[in-house]
Amino acid sequence: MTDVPPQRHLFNWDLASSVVLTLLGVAVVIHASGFPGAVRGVPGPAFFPMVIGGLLIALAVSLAATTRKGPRHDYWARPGGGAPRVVLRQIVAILILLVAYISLWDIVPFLARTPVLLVAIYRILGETWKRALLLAAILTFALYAVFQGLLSIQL
Amino acid sequence: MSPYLIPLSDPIAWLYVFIGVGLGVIFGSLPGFTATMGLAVLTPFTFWVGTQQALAMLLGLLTSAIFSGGIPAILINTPGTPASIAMTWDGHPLAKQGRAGFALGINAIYAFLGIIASLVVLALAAFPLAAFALSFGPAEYFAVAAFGISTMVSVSSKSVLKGLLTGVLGLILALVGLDSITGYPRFTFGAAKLLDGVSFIPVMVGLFGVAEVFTQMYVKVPHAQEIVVKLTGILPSWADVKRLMPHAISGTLIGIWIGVMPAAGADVGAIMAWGQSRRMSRKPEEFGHGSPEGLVAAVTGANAGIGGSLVTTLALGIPGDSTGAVLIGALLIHGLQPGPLLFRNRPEIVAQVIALVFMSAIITLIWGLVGAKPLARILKVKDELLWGLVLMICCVGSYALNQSTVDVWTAIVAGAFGFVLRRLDFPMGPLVLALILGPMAESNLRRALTLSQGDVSILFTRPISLLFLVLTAASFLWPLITWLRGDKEKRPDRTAGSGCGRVDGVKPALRAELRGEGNR
Repeated sequence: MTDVPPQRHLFNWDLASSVVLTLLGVAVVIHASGFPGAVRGVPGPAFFPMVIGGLLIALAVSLAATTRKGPRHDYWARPGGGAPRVVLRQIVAILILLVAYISLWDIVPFLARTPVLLVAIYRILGETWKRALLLAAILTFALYAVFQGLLSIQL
Repeated sequence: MSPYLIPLSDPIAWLYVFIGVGLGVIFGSLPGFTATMGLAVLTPFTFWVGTQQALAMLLGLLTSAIFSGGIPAILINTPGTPASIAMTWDGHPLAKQGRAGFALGINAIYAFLGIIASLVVLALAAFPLAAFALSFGPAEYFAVAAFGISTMVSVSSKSVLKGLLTGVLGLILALVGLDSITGYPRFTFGAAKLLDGVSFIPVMVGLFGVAEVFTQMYVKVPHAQEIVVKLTGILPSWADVKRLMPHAISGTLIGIWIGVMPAAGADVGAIMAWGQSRRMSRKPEEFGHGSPEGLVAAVTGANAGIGGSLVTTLALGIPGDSTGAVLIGALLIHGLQPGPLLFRNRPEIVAQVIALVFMSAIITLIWGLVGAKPLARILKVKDELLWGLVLMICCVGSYALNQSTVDVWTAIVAGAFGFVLRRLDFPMGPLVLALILGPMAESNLRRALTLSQGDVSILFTRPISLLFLVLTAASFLWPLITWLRGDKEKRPDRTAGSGCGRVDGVKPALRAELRGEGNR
């Protein structure tokens, strides 16, 4: 994280976070208002969600207020330097692969889908084809042996 | 043999402790990987083994991870875990002076002594504390839970406001599912799978496993290329032992005390112990330049926190930090609810915990003394190789819990959100604390008010409840008070040795990343 003076080109992530969290707080309060309320002074299921929703709104608004005063932070600056976009692309690619992997969980058998995922992940992380294939084979077998063989969990 | 000490004579228990210690060495030694991450990733596995075996692995991992964090701190000047930051200050200069073996020996021996001393405190303090807590009613339990939640302020190292926000997010997550008092469904949106609430373990796996891998990819901790492996003279001489004794005692006492305090973890213990040791030293100018006294203080301060933190975690069910929260989650999936009732109904479990930590400490000591060279080689393992493995274990482990892909989705979504939140400086510790303690606070508050027929004075007229509520208020208000006093800038920086230390060679950005999450 790097502190920098207020600059127009730097996206205000704190303000964006506070807006999202305020909206979430409002949604919680609105949704909780439909829960049963207090009976003879004893709080019902609505009490805690209403309090917590209100607290979230108050804290999120406070965050928005503090971002107006202090310097903006470049949260996405990489400590060691280097382009954030490249590594962000890698992370998003791995996330997409994981989503696909879970989506195929009940369709494609473990021994078929797992090595493909691992090869793809290791290639994204910069490993050679040979090494990625070897690692994928070893890890798939190890996971299968532990979960299916040792723990009898149907993968 | 007494049923309380069964693990000591059980070869299977030793085997599981050995596995846990081995995993702890890996998670502790590799910079960026933490004990919290190791526990989160390992927990789903333990669901499929017996309670004792599960505890053996988890406690073995916890015990050895903090010790192992000292290895890269000494050899490559990069702390393996946040708890070992203070070990870089004197450990690495010793290595550069050609005394790497001596520094590693000190790390192994004094880690062992610190853990054993803290176990004595655990055995002596936890049972009376739990017995005292048996007299608690709903009002007291609410107050204790509220105090536990308030400690989220302390674990929010960068921004208190953001810590509170993630804590509130955790409280909201904890609301999902059937209301514990009336059975009314809340925030389930008609989905039957949400009636049981958000599954805690996959959330932890996502926040501390998946998000951690993404964070490491983003930060990319510099990897060791050249490691000092000339390891001779591991054992300290008798003269060294006598000279180091006061510093070991001081570090151990500080570590235990910090460990008992909720939300103050091993990193704080190590730094405070190092600072205190320097103050009491006749040669304070040597601290930071390879002082064995400084290293001993840091090592004992970090490791003595293990038993200390288990006191409140087990006796009151209040996690001291993220690691404690994950440990509580792991105990819960084995049907063990930490708190005074655990001591009354299952005292053998508490005794087994003590025995297992003792066994872990012994194996860790042996690892540390005879396995120094292989341990040093672990540092050469490429992070990229482990990232793929950890991601796969996160997926398969989450699935293994209930054999449901919903849990895998939960882990991945939590991981993605966790990564973004961490980049934006929202700490994860408060979220986990709130997720565990939120239901406890809500249900006990409502029970207390039901007993008093809606009279809130029940919370303030009972002394223990009042005490914890005052502590809660103080915990929440303290940052505000310090801010109003205008000394915000003087707030101790955990990574800077409370203003009294130096961090040679540890890149500031890396320190910032390390301190951002958890404290082990």
